[in-house]
Amino acid sequence: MQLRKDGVTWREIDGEMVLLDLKTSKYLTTNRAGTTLVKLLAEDRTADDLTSALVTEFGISADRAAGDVAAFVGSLEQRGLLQVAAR
Amino acid sequence: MYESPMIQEVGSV
Repeated sequence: MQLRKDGVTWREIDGEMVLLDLKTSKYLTTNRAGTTLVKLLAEDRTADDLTSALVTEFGISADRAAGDVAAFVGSLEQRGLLQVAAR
Repeated sequence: MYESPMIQEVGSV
């Protein structure tokens, strides 16, 4: 999975991620952990990739990281920001 | 302190 490439642009500004979805004309922000995941999702990633990144960067348990990744990815999917690639 | 990843809509262009 990765961020949609058509019509979604993002920049990190002062440590905060700002995303612009040109299809819906919405702009969005993420918190620190969300910024970490969004940067990774600029390329095709698995849920395990994202989970490992949270564990490494924030020192949380793998169980908590996996749950947080699932919730965050669900939120991105709900907003139509992801494209799911075959791997 | 760790906070679960979150994305929120700020507004509309």
